[in-house]
Amino acid sequence: MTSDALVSLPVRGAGMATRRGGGLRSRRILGKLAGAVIVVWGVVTLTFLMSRVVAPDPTTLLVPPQATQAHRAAVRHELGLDSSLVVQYGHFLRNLAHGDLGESFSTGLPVTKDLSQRLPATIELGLLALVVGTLVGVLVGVFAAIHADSVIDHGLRAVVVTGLAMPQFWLGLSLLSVFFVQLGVLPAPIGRLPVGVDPPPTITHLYLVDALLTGQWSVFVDSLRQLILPAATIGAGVFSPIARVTRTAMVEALSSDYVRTARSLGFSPARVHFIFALRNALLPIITMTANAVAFALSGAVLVEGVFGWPGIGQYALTAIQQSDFPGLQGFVLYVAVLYVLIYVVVDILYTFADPRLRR
Amino acid sequence: MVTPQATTEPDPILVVDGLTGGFGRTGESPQVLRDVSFQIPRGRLSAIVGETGSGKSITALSVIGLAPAGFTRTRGSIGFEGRDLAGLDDRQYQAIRGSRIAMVFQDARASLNPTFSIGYQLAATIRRHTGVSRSAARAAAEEALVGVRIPDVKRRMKQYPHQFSGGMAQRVALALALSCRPNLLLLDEPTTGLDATIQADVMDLIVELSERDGLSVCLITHDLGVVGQHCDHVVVMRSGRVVERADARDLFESPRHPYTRQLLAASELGGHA
Amino acid sequence: MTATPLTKETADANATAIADAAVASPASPRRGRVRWRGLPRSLQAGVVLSGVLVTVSVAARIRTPHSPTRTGVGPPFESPSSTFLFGTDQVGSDVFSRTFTAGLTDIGITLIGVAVAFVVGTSLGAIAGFVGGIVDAIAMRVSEILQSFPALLLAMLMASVLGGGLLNVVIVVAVLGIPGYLRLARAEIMSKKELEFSDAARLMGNRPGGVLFRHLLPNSLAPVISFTAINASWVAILVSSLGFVGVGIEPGTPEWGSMVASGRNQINAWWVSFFPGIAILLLALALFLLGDGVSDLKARRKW
Repeated sequence: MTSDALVSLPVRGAGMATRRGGGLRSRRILGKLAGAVIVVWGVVTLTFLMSRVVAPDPTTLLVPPQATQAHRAAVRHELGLDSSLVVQYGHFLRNLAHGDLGESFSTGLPVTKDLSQRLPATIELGLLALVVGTLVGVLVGVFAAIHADSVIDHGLRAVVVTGLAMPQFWLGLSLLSVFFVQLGVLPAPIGRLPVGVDPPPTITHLYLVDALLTGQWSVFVDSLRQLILPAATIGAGVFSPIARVTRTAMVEALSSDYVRTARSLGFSPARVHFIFALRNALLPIITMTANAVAFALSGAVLVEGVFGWPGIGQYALTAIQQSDFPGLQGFVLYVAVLYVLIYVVVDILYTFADPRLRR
Repeated sequence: MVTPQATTEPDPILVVDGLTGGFGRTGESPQVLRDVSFQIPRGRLSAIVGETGSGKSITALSVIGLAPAGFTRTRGSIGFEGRDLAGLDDRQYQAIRGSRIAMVFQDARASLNPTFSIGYQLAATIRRHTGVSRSAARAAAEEALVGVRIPDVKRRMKQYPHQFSGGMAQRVALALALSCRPNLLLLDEPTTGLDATIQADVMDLIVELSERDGLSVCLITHDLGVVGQHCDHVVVMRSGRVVERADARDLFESPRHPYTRQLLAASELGGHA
Repeated sequence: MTATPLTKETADANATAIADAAVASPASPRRGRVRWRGLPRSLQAGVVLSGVLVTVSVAARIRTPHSPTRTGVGPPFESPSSTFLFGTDQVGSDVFSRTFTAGLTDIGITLIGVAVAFVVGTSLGAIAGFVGGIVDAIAMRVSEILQSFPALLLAMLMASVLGGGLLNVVIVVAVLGIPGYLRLARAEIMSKKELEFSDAARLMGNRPGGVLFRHLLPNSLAPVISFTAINASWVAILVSSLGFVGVGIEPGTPEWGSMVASGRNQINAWWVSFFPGIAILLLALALFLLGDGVSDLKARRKW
C-alpha cells in the first residue's frame, strides 16, 4: 500500500500510484491527460471561488488608508471587482486562455513575471534537496534492506520514522539555531546570497551553476553556504519517505527467487543488489520520488519562509496573507500544471521500469 | 548411523563428507544436517530424494554456497574438482557459481528476473564469467537458447519472462544455468508444476544434454517416478541424514532402508525400474 | 521496601488495555486480550508515547506551575531555569506551562478532525464505490482536485474563508482529510463488491444499503484503520503548520505551532521554539508508530 507513506509528505500524490495494465498506452495517456485537464480546471476554479470570498478587501493594499470611498470604488472598478462573480469568472478564464494571469495586487507586476523571477530560486533549492534526499534515501533503504532486522536496520528505522514525524518549519528553525546562532558556521537566513554579494552573470538562473560556469568560485561557495540549511531541511522531508519505501520494496525483491538465481549464477553482491534487485523495487520508489518532486518544486512554503528564500512558496504565502488573488491564482495554476506533468512522466517511467506494464 | 554401502565411484565429481550444520548462532538449534556424506558420479544423472524437511534442499544450496542466512555449517567438506568448496571465500565461490556449478530452481518463471529481457540475462551471465564482447555474448546467448530447443530465438531474446509459458521458462532457466558450460548442474524439483507432457520433454532434454556434453546432473526431488525413469544413482535423505545411497536399479529392486521402502510404497513404484 | 511497586507489570497491563482498544476489531474476540509482549515494538512504542502525551496534557489542564495564558509571569526571554523550566517567551509567559497546556488543543483538533474525515470520507467512499457510475466519477474528480492542491495553502485559503476559531480549524482539517479516506474506502468496496459474500447477502434479501453498511463496509475497514493513525500523524503536523503561519487560532491561545512561530524572530532564545516543536514531533511520532504498528500486526518485516 503506497498510501500510508504518501501522507508524510506535505503533498498528497494525486493518485499517482496508477493501476497496472489496461488498454493501449497512448490511449491511456490521453485519457489521463483529459482527466488531468479537468483537475487543473477544478483547482483553478476552486481557487477563484474561494479567493473571491476571502474576507479582507484587496483594495486596502492598493489605496492609502485615508482614501475616499469614491477612490476605493474606482480602484475596485478598475480591477473588475465590482462586476458579478460570473462576469469576473468569464473574464478570468478568457485571460487565462491567453496566458495572462493578471497583475499581482501586492507587487503590481504581471504575475507571470513575478513567478518566473522567483521560480529559479525554488528550482535551485528544490533540485539540490531532491538529488541529495533521493540518493541518500535510496542508498539507506537498500542498505537497511540488505541488513534487514540487524541493529543497524533498527537504528535507521528510528532515524527515518523521526524524519517522517518532523515538522519541517521546526527542523529549519532548529538547524538555524544550531549552525547559525550557536556554532556560527553557516550564514543567516537571508535568501540566496549574503548581503553585498552580487549574483553571477545569468545563464541558467541557478546561482550555483552560473557561478561555476563563469568561474566565480567565491560566489559559488557563498551561494552553496546559503543553500545548505534549507536544502537539508527539504532534503530530510524527501529522504525519509524514500528510504522507507526503498527498504520495503528491496526486502521483498531480495527474498525473491530471481535474486537467488542471480546469486547462483555468480554475480557479485553489489550487482545483485543494485542491478537485479533494485530494478524490481523501482516502481514504489518512482511513485514516492514523484511525490517528492511535487513537494520540492511547488516551493516548500514554510521552509522558504523560515529561510527568507525568495522562491514561489514564499510568494504564495504572501499572496494568501495579503489577499493577492492574481498572485495566488498564478501559483495554484503552476502547481496544478506541475502535477499534471509529473503524472505523465511517472506513467512513462513506469513502463520503462517494468516491462510488464508495456503493451 | 548410515549403512555404508559399496557405491564408491571411481571418479566422482562431487564428494560431500560429513556435512553437519543447523540454524542459530552455533548451528546447533535446531540441527538440520547431520553428518551428510555422499558422492555424485561424473557425467551421469543422480538424485537426492526425500520429503519436505529432509534436508535435501539445504544440502544442495550448501553445495552451491547459497545456504540461507541463518544456517551455519559446523563440520564437513564439499569436494569439487579437487577443492573443498566449504573453505572458499565469497569471491572464489562467486567465480565458481554459474561457471563450474549451476543450479536451476523450482518455479522457473519466478526464478527469472521479470524486469530484464531474456537476452540480457543470458548475455550478462556469459559476460560475467567469460568477459567476452557484447556481441559475442549475444551470439553465445542465442546459442544457449537454441541448445535448449527454443524456437524463434531472435524474437525470444528480446522478450521478458512474463511472455514465456511455464515449460518455455523452464527451458530458459536451463539455458541460463548452462550458458557458461558448468560441469555440475543441480536441479531443484525441475518438473514440479509442469504438465505431464512438458515434464517429459524437459526431462528428455536434460538427459540429452547430459549425454551430449558429459554433464553431471543432480536432481533434488521427492518425485520417485522421475528418478526411476532417468537416474543412475540415488541418495535418500530423511530428517537431515542420508539413509541410503545406491544405484537406482538396486534401490528400486531391493531397497534396504525401511524409509526407502515407505517412499517407494507411497509412490506406488516399488519393484519397477 | 513497602513502597507501592510501580512495576513494569502494572505499566504493561495498563498499556495492554489501551492496545486492546487500539487494535479492537482485527483481533479475534474469542482469544481474549492481545498479549502485550507479542505486539510489534512500533505498536508498543506508539501506545506508550500517546498514553504519556494524553496524560500530561490532561494533567496540565488541571494544574501548571504558572498560568499558561498570563503574560509577564517572568521577564521576557528568560532562559530555562528552575523557576521556568523551559524559559519564558517574548511576553514573559512560562513556556513550560504553555507547552503542556497546548497539548489538548493540538491533540483535540487532530483527533476530532481525523474522526470527522474518517466517518465522512469512508461513508462517501463506500457509497461511491458501491453505486459507481456518475456518483463515483464526481466523487473521484472532486477528491483529485482537493488533493492536487498544496495542502497547507488550501487549508490557509479555507481558513481565511471560514474565519478564525478552533472549530473552523477542525473543519478545515476534516475537509482536507476526506479525499484520502474516500479513495481508500472506495477501492476496498469496489474490490469486495463482486465477492461471494455480498452476493449471498443480497440473495438473503438484504436491501442495497444493508449490504453496503452491514456487510461490505465492516469487511473493508482494516486497511482504512491502519491508514487512519498514519494520516493522523500528518494531520498533527498540518494543524501545527496552520498555527505556525498564524491562521485560524486566536493569538495568545497556547498552541504548539504558533508557539514555535513566536520564537522565530528571536532565534537566540532557542527554547521558545524548541520545546513546543519537540511536542509536535512526539505527537506525530506517537500517531505514526500507532499506525505503523497496526500494519505491522499483519505483516512483519516491514519498517
